Amino acid sequence: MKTSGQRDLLIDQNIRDAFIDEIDKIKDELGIFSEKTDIYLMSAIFGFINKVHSASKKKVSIRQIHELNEDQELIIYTLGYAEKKSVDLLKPDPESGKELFKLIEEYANSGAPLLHEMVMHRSDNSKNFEEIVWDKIKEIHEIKKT
Amino acid sequence: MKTRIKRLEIKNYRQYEHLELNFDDDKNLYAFMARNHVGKTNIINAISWCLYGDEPFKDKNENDKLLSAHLANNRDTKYSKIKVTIEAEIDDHRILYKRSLIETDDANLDQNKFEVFLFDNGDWKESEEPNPNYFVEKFLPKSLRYFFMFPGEDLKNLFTDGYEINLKKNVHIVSNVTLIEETIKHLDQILTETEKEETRLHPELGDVVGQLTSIKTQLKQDNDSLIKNKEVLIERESKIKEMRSQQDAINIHKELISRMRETEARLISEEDHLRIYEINYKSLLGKLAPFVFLYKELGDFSMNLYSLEDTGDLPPKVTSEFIEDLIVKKNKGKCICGNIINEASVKSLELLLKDINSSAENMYLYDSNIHLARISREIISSYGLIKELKTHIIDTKAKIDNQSKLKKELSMKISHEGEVVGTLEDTIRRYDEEVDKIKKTIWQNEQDILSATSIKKELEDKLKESEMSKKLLVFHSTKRELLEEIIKKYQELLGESVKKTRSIMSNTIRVYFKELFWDTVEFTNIFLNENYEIILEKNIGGNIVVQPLTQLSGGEKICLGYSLMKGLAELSGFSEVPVFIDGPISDIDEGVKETFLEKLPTFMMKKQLFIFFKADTSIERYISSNLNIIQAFRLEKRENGLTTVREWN
Repeated sequence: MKTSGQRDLLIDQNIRDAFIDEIDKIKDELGIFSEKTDIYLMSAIFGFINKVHSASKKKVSIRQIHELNEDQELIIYTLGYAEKKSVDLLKPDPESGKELFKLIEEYANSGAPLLHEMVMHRSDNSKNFEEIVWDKIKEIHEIKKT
Repeated sequence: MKTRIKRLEIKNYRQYEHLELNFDDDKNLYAFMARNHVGKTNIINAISWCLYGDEPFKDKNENDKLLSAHLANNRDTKYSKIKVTIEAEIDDHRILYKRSLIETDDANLDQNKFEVFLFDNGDWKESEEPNPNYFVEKFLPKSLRYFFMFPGEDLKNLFTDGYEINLKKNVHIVSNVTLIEETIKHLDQILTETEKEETRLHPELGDVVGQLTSIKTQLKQDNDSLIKNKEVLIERESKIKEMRSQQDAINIHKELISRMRETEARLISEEDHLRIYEINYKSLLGKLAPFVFLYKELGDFSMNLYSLEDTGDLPPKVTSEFIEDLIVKKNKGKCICGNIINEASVKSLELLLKDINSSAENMYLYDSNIHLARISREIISSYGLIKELKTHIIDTKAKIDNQSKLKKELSMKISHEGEVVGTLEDTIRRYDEEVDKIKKTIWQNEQDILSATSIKKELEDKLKESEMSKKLLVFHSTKRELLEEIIKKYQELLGESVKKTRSIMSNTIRVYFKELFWDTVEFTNIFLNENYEIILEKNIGGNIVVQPLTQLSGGEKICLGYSLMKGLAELSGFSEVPVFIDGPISDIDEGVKETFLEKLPTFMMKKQLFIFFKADTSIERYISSNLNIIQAFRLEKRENGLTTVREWN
C-alpha cells in the first residue's frame, strides 16, 4: 500500500483479545473471514457504520500494512474517503497515512464488539451475518436492476 | 305192532294171470302146496315185488320180464298192466299196497307205479304221504325182510364157517344193537373231533393273549413316540419359521444397512457438496461483505475518482494491457497517435511504463478506481452465483436432512448385528437337518404303527376268535364230557342190549329148537356165546360135551335155523309180521318133519305164517286133517304155463 506512516494495522490490545481473537478462533467455522485482518477491517466498517471512534489504550498489531491485499487496501481507502469525503486522507504521505490508519484503528476498536456480538451471540430469531450480507447483496441487485 | 295180510291180488304177474286170495282172519297158518316150478316161490316174489319193487327169490332161469310168455305173446294182453295188490291191516288200520307195471319192449319206457291207499270212512283213499315207502316200512322194513321171507332149504346153509359173524350181524340188526353200535361209533367220531378241537384250542388262546399284550405295548410306545416326534417337529418347524421370518427381517435389515450405507455415502457426498457450497458461499460473502456494507461509500469513492479522472487529476495508467493492445495493433502498423508501431516502440513504451508507475503519486487511486469498478462488477455479478450457491446450499441441506432422516429411520429399523444373521442361518440349517431326521423318524413311526395296528387287528380278530375259541373250548370240553358220558351210557346200553339180545336169542333158540327137535336126553343146553357161536351141549355118558354144528344133520340144522329165524323175528320187534317160508321141511327126515308139522301152528304164534310146501303125501295128509286151523291152497299149472290157485276145502 502506497500510504505509509506506520508499519502495522493497530488495535487496542483488549479489544483484540476480547473480540478479534475470539472471532479469529472461529473464523474457519464462520467461513466468512479468511484472516484476522478481515475481522479487523469488518470491525472498522461496523465502527464506521455506527460512527463510533474508540481510541486504543494499548495498541497491538494486527498486520503489517505492506502485507495487505488489494481488497483490504480498497476497504481502507474507502473508509478513509468516506470519513473525509475526499481523497486527501488517501495521499501517500506519512501524515495522511497515520491519520488514515488511526481512523481505521478507532473504528475497529468500536466496531469489534459489534461484530463480535453479531457473529457470536446471534439469536435464533435474528438473521446471522451471512444473511444480513446476502440481504444487502439482494438489495444492491434490485437497485441495480431498476 | 300187529300186522296181517287180509287179501292178495295178483294180475298178469308171471304165471299168474289173475289170482285173488282172501286170508281168513281166524287162522294164522296158510299153506300153499304145489309141485316144483308151478309158482309157489313167485307168490312170495309177487309180495316182495309189490312191497319192495324186487323179486329176491327169482329163479335164475326166469325171465326178467314179469309178463308171462303166454300173455306177452297174446296181442290183446301184451301190454296188459301187471298188478299186485296187498290188503293189510296194521294195528286196526287197513292199508292197500298196490304196485302196477306196464311193460314195453324198452325197459326204460316201462311204467312202474306204487300206490298206497288207506281205508277211511268206508272208502279207500290214496295216501297223501309223499313217501309211500313209509307204510311199507311200517309193514316190514326191507332190511328185515329176509328174516320173514326165506327159503326153508337155505336154513341148513346158515351154519357154514363164519356163520357166527353173520349171525351176530343179523342179531344186532334186528335187535337195534347195530343202531346202538353205529350211534356209539358216530358219537366216538364226534368225540374224537371234539377232542381234536379241544387240543387245538388250548395252546392257541395263551399265545394270542400274550402276543396281543405285547403288540399293544409296542403300539402304545410307537404312538407315544410318534406324538412326541410330531410335537418336536411342530416346535422345530415353528422355530424355523420364526427364525426364517427373523432372517427375512434381518435380511431386510441388512438391506437397510446397505441402504443406510448408501445413504451415508450420499450424505457424505452431499455434506461435501454442502461444505464446498458453504465455503464458496461464505467465502464469496466474506469477500464481498465489507464492500456490501460500504457499497454506497464505494460508489461515492468511485464517482469521486471518475471526477478526478475527468479533471485530469488522475492520469491514465499505462498498463500492460495497454501495451498488449498496442502490440496487437502492431500488426496493423499504426498507433492511435499515428506513429508506426514496431519492436523498438514497444520496448521504449515498456520502459516508460516502469517509470510512470514508479513515480505517479495517484496511481494507487487509479488502481483503486480500477479495483472499485471490478468490485462493483463483482458485487453485481456475484448475485447470481451467490443465489445459486444459496439455492444449492438449501437444496443440499434439504437433501442432507432427508438423508439424515432416512439414515435415522434405517438405523432404527436395524435390530440385530450381522453376526446374529450368521448365527441364525447356522441354527436354521441345523434345525432343517433336524427336521428332516424327525420327518424320517415320524415316517418310520407311522409305518411301524401301521404294521403294529395291522398285527393288532389280526390278533384282536384272533382274540375274538379266541374268545369264541374260549367259549368253544368250554363248549367242546363240556361236549366232550357229555359225549363221554353218553358214550358210556350207550356202551352200557350196548353191553346190556348185547347181553339181553344174546340171552333172548339163546332162550328163543333153545325154546324153539327144543320144541322142534330136541332130544332132551341128548341136548342139555343151547345158547349163544359171546362170539355168537351157537353152543350145543350134549350129555354124553354124564359128561357135558359141546356138539359142533358141523356134526348136526341137515334136519337138525333146518330146525336150528327155524329157531334162529324165530329168535330174530322176536328180537326185531316185528314179531307179529307175517312170515313166508318157502319149502320149509324139504330135506329133513320124517321124524323131524312130523314134529315140525305138529309144532307148526304154535311155532309162529300171534302171526300169520305162509308156508309154501312142495307136494308131499305127509304134508297133504297133515293139511287135510288140520283145515280147521290151516287155510290151504293148491297151485296147479295149466298147459299154457299159467298157474291157477284153488282154495283147499
